[in-house]
Amino acid sequence: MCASMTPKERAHLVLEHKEPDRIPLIEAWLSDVVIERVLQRPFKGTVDIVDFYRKLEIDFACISFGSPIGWEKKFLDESVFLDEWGRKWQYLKGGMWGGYGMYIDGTIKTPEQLDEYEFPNPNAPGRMDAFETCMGMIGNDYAVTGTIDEGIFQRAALMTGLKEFLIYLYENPSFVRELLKRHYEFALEIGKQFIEAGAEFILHGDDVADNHGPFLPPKLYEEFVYPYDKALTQSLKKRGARVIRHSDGKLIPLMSYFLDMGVDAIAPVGRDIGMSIAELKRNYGNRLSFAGGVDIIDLLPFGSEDDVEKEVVRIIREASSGGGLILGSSNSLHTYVPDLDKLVRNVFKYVQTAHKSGVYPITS
Amino acid sequence: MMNVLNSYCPTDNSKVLSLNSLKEFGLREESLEAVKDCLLRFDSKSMRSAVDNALRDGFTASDVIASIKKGFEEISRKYDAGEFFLSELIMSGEAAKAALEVLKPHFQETARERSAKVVIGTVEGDIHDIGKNIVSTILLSSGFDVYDLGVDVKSRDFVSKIKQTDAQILALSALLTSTRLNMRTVIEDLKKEGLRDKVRVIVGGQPITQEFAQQIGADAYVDDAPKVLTAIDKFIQVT
Repeated sequence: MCASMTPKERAHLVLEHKEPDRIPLIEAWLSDVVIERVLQRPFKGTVDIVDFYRKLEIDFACISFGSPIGWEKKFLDESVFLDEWGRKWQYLKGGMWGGYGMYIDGTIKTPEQLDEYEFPNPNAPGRMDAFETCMGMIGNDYAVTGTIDEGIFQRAALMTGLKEFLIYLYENPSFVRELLKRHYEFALEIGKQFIEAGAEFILHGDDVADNHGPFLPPKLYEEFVYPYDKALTQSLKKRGARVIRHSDGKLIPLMSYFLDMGVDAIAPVGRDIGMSIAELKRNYGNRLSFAGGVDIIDLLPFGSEDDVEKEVVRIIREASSGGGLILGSSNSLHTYVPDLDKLVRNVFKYVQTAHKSGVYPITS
Repeated sequence: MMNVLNSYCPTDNSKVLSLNSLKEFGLREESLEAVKDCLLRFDSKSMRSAVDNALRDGFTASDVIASIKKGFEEISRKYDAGEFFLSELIMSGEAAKAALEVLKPHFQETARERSAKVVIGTVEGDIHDIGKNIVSTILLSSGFDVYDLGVDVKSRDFVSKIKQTDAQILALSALLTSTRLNMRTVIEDLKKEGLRDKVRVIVGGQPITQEFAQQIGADAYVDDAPKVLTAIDKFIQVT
């Protein structure tokens, strides 16, 4: 059977836990450098991101909100800069993370500083420019997905630094609550603008875990983060969007909360992060779809093309039955790899294999 | 210590008593258990008074450190079983730091008893430090001499610190798929400098696996911070 649906039709069906014509693909966080290698031309902006999705036929085209018109990073030296929130980042040797560096430090060091801190305006002109460009180019056919980066917990935690934030959780809970509330409000405003601009899909990216498990005990997640996480999800869904909840790491202890708040899918998953997609589908597949699966820690940077093909076929055989499977990297397509050419060859291989072997009906 | 000696051994107050001998004199271990409990409940405030009480009861700084070490071993089991989370690991590290502040003036007496020197750092090109800092705190509060070189540490700086300190253990951390390869460089440089047989290398971090550790010739891989104690204990037993 040949692919006959548009990416958007495919995306809606997979989130309804049904089998589309083929397994849809998603990539949410892309390095500019990977895009350049795939397109074989210098990266200039949103048009190149769109062309990346079109060239690889990736169904969910994920576009983040932008900075206000006229805002620019403030460089402290040649590699260290402040972002719009005043947080410190650094570009490292070995690659650029799609316009971001690696996090160094937060901007609010004490609860008192919060009173004086002026939050960025979520409705500032320019936030939706990239998304609207993407919608104008491929919005009729593709599942153009508004991406709320760093969501609520992650952005709040990086205001102080993750370690400091987790300590404040115990020592100054009202400060933590206030930070979470302010970032919930920001995230909600961004989400509303995406939907007003035509988004049918929202990716709420908010890291609450590492590969070992959640950063905080489930009971503290429930007390502090979950009310905002749920309120954001339900507000977006009430406005008609389907919500994909992204968090790095092993989320198993938090799955009941994600089910309860009503997200449509969880991303990313993968054996390399302790989230076997087949097992997740067995346990939660009637209520949630899952995205990811293709190992970005070892397989894509280091494996052979043959390894990649075998792994993608294995995932498809194990987890495609009944729909609910969106294939993608187990985190992002980044450049922190020793051999970028190898990574790009393997990305092409995984995409080609997914397109070839992911056509329904699939026999396991 | 003097108070206890006077209480339990008034005729020989020049004798330094070990934990075992104190037990023989009937010293209760509740105060050491209290220290461990503070760690497990990550209660920094109570930790200070718990350590004070243990010292007042006649236990040495080494005894207190051994109790903290036991606590971290228990935390390691809980963390491994998914019953303990990063925030709790960080908070127990803070409690251990509180204990160290009280113990600091007593370190002189235990210096000779410290079991090993450890050089630790995040490898070149990588600036992640939460996991590394937790390991560093656990090691320090478990009685090791720790030389924490920070983040983005060049291979030559690890080698030079090991030469300078005669450290027996090197703990390397990385969070990126690309920077983990710099761990191999450090091990190769240790070989070139003729130090490889003198230093046990432990590696850890999100992209590290047992298989990767074997590939680069590390001596041990730890998948969570408190397990570093078990790894070092094994080295010491082997040695």
